[in-house]
Amino acid sequence: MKIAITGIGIISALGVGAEQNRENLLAGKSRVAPAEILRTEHTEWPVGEVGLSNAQLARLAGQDENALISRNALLGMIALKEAIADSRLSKEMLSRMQLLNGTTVGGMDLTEQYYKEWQQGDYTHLDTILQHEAGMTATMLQQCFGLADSTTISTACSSALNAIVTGVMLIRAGIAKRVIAGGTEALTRFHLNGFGALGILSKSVCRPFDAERDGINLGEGAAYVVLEDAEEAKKRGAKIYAYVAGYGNRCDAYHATASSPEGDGAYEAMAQAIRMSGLDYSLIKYLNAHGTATPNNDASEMRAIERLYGENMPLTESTKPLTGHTTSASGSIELCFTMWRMAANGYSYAMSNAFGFGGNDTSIILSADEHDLPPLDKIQQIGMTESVAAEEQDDYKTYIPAMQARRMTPMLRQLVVAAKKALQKAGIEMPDAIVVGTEWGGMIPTIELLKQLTDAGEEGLSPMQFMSSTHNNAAGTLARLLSCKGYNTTFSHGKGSMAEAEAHAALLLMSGEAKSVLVCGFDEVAEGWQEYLEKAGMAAENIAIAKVMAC
Amino acid sequence: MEINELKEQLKQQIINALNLEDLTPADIDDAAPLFGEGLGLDSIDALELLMVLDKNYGIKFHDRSQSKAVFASINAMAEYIEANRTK
Repeated sequence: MKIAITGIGIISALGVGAEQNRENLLAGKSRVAPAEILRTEHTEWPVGEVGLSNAQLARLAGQDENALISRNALLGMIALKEAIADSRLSKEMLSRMQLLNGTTVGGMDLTEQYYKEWQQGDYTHLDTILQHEAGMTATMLQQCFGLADSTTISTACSSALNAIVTGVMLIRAGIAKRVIAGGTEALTRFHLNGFGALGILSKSVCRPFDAERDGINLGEGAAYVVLEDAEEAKKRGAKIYAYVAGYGNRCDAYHATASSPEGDGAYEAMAQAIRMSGLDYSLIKYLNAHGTATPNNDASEMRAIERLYGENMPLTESTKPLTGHTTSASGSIELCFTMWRMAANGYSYAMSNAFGFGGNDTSIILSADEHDLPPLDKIQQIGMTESVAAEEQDDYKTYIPAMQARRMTPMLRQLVVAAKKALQKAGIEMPDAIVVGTEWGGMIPTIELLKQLTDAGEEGLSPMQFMSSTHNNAAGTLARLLSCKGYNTTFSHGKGSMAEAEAHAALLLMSGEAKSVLVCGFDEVAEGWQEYLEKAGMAAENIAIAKVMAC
Repeated sequence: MEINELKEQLKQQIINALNLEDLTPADIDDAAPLFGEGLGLDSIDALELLMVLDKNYGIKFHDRSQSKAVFASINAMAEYIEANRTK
């Protein structure tokens, strides 16, 4: 089976559309500068902004410029529109396609703008709470372009690349002929201050892999690719940019934010991608690294590359000084950059990395020429245990070391207990993969941070709360506590998140990616959020369930 | 404030800030290292401790690498606070 990329849509600090992005990439133009559009006091941390206001973006997206649409969704609409046109997808084709979207911030730009009003009992803009959920961005995009279905992958800064990998898996398993996959992420005060609290933002244009590197510049943008069974693509005469030659998703299982000294997750993800491609590593001569320019990431990633390549290192580049770190969108934006580098320099093969907090490390390999992905085994029978939840008599302290438990909310502790019990029940010590479904992610720490932002302003956010606020914190925590370095992902797509996680686990089993998968559902009710959700006719639930699926 | 009183207060602030709910001030040895071997804190805890110093004692570090020596133990922290506090 060959899988082709037949369409590109992109928006970033380098410009609107493929042409501007490609030109500025090849010219090496950095667009990292003090924020002009994001309303922040922190102009000392330069960012890679898409230099257009929300009203300007709305016009480009064909939306009413007065409508309150999250910047995240607007960026997504513009990139998606371009990818669809570029691949010449008909309405009829779109009506049968799924969108796989990677994001973390969702509608946070609206939430952080109006949260204070809600606290003061002014609900004029309460409707925007509907857009907060990460999954709502994909739902809006799906409806906007008449797609059949959508889902959302949220593994922090590897979200978009994991969305692409998920799309490749669906085609490889014969479930879809073609999909659109990628990610979108708008800058918000919330995560600018969060990264700032972690002490990892640079005050100058970032310098990945430099001995004097001193941190990240955040950026924003969106990019999508059309992935297609190459036979189908040829039949309809689609242009083909590149072929997917391999992918690997692994978990560092080391720390909530820091990468391991030996770069275990990064090494395993790249090694798995290379194994799947059947290529000798020395043929992959270009690597678009994650390269955030933090002392920790770059040392860990470089160590992982050294472990793979020894002295014959590939040309390794991080494009983050040009665009800033576009977090959840970086995986798809940098995959576009990788394709353009391949075309411009005549590389036959190239690899692109995207790593996220929680140790969610993913790599993908592209081939300029036709390349076969290895065939899948026959679909096997899948077994599934019943859902397990923590019971009243279960003391989390017997399951979780105190130094780990102190950073976990009550529901997250219950989830770990449920997961360990489910594995015990299934007689599995170590699952091959962990898949979590969560509608809201770490909502208690998220609300703590929102309160800090509205009460104290842009100063002194808690780093511990920030690292616990991501959607993939539960999956990362489980991986760490189980020392599970296998495949790891998180679906965050509304009430159906657990069902999405189960469907993905089945896909992993069918694809031979895993023989056993720990599948979990997680959500927590947060004070200072639930009451506003209820006023808007919604509600979150406390959920901490686990099951094991195996073949 | 007497130094022993300051140490007790500091320990309670650390316990609260780092959610060390199973510990009491008496469990923390004044001379034991806070990071690595001793209490086993990590880099995120170091950031939280910077906030404790800022919020409670008005101490800011312009160069974060300086803070390493200060966070060596409760004794070291208390001495530094005594000498540098602005509130």
